[in-house]
Amino acid sequence: MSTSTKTSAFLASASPSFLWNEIVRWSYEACILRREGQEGRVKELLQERLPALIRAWSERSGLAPDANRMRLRGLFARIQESVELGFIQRRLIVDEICARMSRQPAKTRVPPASGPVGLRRRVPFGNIPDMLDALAQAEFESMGEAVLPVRRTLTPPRNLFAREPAAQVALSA
Amino acid sequence: MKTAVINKSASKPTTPVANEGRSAESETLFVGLDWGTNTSCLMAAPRSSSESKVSLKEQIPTVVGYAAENVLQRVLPGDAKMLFGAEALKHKLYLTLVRPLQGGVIENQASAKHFAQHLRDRLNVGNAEVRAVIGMPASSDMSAREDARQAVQGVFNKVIFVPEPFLAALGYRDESRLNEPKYQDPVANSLYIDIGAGSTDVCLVQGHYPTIDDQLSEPFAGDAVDQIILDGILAAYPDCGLSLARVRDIKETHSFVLAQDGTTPAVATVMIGGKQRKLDVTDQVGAGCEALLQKVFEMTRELIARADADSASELLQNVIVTGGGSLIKGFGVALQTKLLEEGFDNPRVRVLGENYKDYVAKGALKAARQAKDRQWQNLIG
Repeated sequence: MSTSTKTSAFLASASPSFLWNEIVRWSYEACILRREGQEGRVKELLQERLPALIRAWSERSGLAPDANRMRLRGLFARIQESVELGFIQRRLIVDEICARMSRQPAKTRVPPASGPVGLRRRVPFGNIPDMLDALAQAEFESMGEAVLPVRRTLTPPRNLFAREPAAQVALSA
Repeated sequence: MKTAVINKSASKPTTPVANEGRSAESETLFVGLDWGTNTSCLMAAPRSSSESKVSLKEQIPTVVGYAAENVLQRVLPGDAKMLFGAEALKHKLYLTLVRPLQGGVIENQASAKHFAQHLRDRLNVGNAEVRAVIGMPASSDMSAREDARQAVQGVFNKVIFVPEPFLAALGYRDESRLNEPKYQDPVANSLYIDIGAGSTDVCLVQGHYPTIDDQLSEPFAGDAVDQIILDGILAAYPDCGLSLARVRDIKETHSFVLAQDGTTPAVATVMIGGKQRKLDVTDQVGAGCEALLQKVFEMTRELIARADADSASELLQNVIVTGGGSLIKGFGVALQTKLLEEGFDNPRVRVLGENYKDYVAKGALKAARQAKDRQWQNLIG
């Protein structure tokens, strides 16, 4: 049996609460990856993993198609907002940490982040100042990741999705 | 933190670069630096000079030689305690040679600082402000940048670090020819392959600077080829006592892919037990270079697959190879052949050649000229 056949069979038998939880988890991951500029992996999630999960959940949620759509739209909007807010908060925290470090007489090194420092957004070739800004932003984000790893700090809050019936089951499990 | 001052360097300063009727002390100088593992390229121009003006251009082997304690007087020029670049290599018998960089990033902080100070001395601008844009390997992380920042602290006044492939593309682009109908803009839709010492970087450049998604980096490049060649030679000639440095020399002279015939073997002359001996290292050099070619081919294939299908045919016309690895004889043709054999339609691979170092430094100088004041990182000595 191929991997995709196995996955389809697994999704078809999974509980709606499990599927909902997976949708929440991978939607979060997609939003974080997009902020990190990893469009290739975002594409993979949006075109492969999430559609399969959404299809399976929609079939088993027990709700009308319109209600499914509304729930999903609401979820995505809240996740996007939550991730954006998380990055803004991290930026503020890292800014403060950097400022405090620079005020110390013996400069402490910010823990180095692993992985290359690359652009997270597209910058037209003719625009050198914009490229330098984007690089500085990427460098800051790398430093931020070293100080506050976003996947550790940005977990879905327990009450954020509480209004979704399936989430009630998943989050209280 | 104050940088150690080099009192005794034998290199003569170059002609002052800020000499257009202004004081060398007051004029800010822009520097573009390709700080390479083996060779560094330095370009400089006064801030107020025209876009095309370059006041200084030098290629310097990235090596620092420290004089041994017991060296006789007048053996080293000016009885220097430290020599740099070609001079250090020339007098290596009396020096401990240290290469500050490995794999494109700083490995030895003290010698890196000394080397950076030597670069500053070459500018001969006294206490004038010097702002440097420095190329970093695309795969370098924050730690590598921090090391580089520390090495140039107290040497340059302000710096910006930019990935080398960006700078190579910037330097290779000739803006003055953009209106020529036959000029193919190298940043419109190209695939850049930068084969350095420590890493091979492949980037898609399609009108915008490559994002994380548009590039691949593998820690397999010139140094890995040296090691493959050395292992092969030691297996065939266990008593030859070759060092990696000597293997690098052999590679630089004899490297090839796509051997056309067997009439031009790679023969290296080595000293074994005080006697000169000629070793046929054709197979070993070939094996190392072929391994690199295969790696580059795989990376290129992967990145082409990532590109938008509509842009692929034009992209295949603009595969540009740069970096030290590009100097391997036949590399461009061999890569083109492999792409063709893989079924890619009419690929065209161009090799930037000997001047590849200039492009990074030239691109860095362009970036320095256009950077806004707020974008420079201050380095307080």
